[in-house]
Amino acid sequence: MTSPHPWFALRLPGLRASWRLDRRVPRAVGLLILFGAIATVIHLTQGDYAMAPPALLETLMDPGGDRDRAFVLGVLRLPRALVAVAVGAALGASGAILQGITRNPLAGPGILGINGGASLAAIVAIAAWPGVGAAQLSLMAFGGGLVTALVIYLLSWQGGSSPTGLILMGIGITALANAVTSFAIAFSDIYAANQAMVWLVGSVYGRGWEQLGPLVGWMAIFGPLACLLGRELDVLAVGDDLAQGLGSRVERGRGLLLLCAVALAAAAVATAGAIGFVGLMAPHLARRWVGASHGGLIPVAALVGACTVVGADAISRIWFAAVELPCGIVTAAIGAPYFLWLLRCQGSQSGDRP
Amino acid sequence: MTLSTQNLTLTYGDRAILQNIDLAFPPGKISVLVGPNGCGKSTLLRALARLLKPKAGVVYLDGQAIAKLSPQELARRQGILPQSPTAPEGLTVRDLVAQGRYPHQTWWRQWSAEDEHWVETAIALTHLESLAHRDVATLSGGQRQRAWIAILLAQNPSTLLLDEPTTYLDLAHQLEILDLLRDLNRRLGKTIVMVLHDLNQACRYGDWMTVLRSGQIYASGPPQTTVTETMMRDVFALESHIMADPVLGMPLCIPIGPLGTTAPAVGRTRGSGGGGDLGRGALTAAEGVDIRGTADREAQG
Repeated sequence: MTSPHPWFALRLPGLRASWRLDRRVPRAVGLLILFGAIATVIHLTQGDYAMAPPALLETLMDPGGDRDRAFVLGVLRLPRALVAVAVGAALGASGAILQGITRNPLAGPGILGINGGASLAAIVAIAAWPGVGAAQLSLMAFGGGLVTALVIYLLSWQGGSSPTGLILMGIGITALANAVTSFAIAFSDIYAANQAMVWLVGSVYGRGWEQLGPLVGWMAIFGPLACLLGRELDVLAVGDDLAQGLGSRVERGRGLLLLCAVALAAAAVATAGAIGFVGLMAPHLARRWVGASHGGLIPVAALVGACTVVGADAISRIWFAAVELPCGIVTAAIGAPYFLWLLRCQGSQSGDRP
Repeated sequence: MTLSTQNLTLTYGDRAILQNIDLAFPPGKISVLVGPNGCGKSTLLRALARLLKPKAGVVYLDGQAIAKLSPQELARRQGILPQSPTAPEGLTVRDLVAQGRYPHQTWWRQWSAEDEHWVETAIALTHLESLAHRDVATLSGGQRQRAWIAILLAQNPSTLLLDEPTTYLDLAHQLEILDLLRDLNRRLGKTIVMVLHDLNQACRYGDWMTVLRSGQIYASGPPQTTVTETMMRDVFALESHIMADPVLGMPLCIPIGPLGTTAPAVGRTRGSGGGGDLGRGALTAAEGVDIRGTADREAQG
């Protein structure tokens, strides 16, 4: 007797179109949107300048009303919260794609050198041009991330892209970039070093509408593209040879997917610095929840990432306001125990689904 | 679907693996590629599957050069199971088998009723119904191999290429897989081309055998004519005794020893304190078979 079919089939007979979706996805998406909305509302209404949720609604409807509230929301908190959501979503989706490409559940944007390269570019900018503007910093970081990923892709090319090669090269280049970054910090002045440190750990403090625009625009291109390529990612899971035997254009698919992953991660890192663990944790959690089929995995990983970052930023802003704790520290504080727990789980239940 | 090659030359870098191979595999039959390690059988299979670009020559599928077909078109007609495929993490058997439908799908048509039908049929044919919801990584070797074959079944090509589908499996699982493949051939008329190491399995399950040696075809034909003692000497450098399998009738190859062995290998170890006498005695008693080499028999008069 077979267990109930794990997928919904969505069929449009007129167009001869059909898709399948894991049964767990709609509920997961619903719950995550709810959780994210609650976290965002808390982020917007709590803290030093607190307001009740109805007041939040009022100010959103009529910004001309209470000027103080409009300022706190419209200039300080709302763009910051939205940036947190967008950054988390981009990192989650990017991590899901990379874990699929490398067939390795421990891969993430960090391992592909994007964090390392973007950090290096940012720190060099901070050290060489003190007082560099946020926009220029973002641009340099973005460029650094893209260039590093390209270098890793080319260096790992052996007649074709190799998932293992990408990981190994990524680790090596990241180590190199980190070394140079540390060197740059060691020889810069205290203010630059402080700015660099915050950037390295990742923070959405002070992010405004001007950062949100480019980020969302970029995600609007590469997000849907990644979802469209979901079935390429699925077929790559069976191995290059078998995938090719099934008719997949492996190199083209992997190249496009890598492009999406790098673009999303580089944009996120350029906006908020090297926020750790999100790109690694979000796809993991998503996979446990809705399975490995990427049509559902990528959106769910994006939502998990968004909830994580906005939740972490809410925690850091509301409870650690005096210290101006970067949200990257909170994500690391969640992430490290999560992976230790995961390791313990896998050790004691080898053979079960991760 | 006729699979054939014309003047095929395959190289890895500068190293020539196969030279000017002309082959035709009988449609609707099971063909087996055999030969010693390094003779090029896996390379040939990969070239037939278009995983390797030939240096020269053409592979034809049903009269069309496969190089001219789109990857999806080729995948609809021909499927390959490579050696030791990677076991992906976190995929259920059903997820895995569903990938076999890739060549029949597009981004707007990802799960038609036909796809669903073929996945369920593939799972039923490989007797994986009770395991369909399980993670692939938790299956035994034999079960996992059935899952890979189920992918090929869901793909539903008319030609199947398999590279050593029974390596690393115990004997019971080997027979299980080979029986399944023969069943597919007899019932569904699929053309099967596979690489096998075990000559006796090749004789038992193959309708057609191609023996490769050092990048050339040594012999091609039904097992009865291809597996001979001369072939064993020339290709495998082994003295052997070929006889009719007492149970099933096809050629049974019993290797005796390296070239030039004039007495059975077990007899030669008599003086070296091994199981020489014991082994030979046990073999003769159990099998009731005369395993002495021709020279030995002559010596005994």
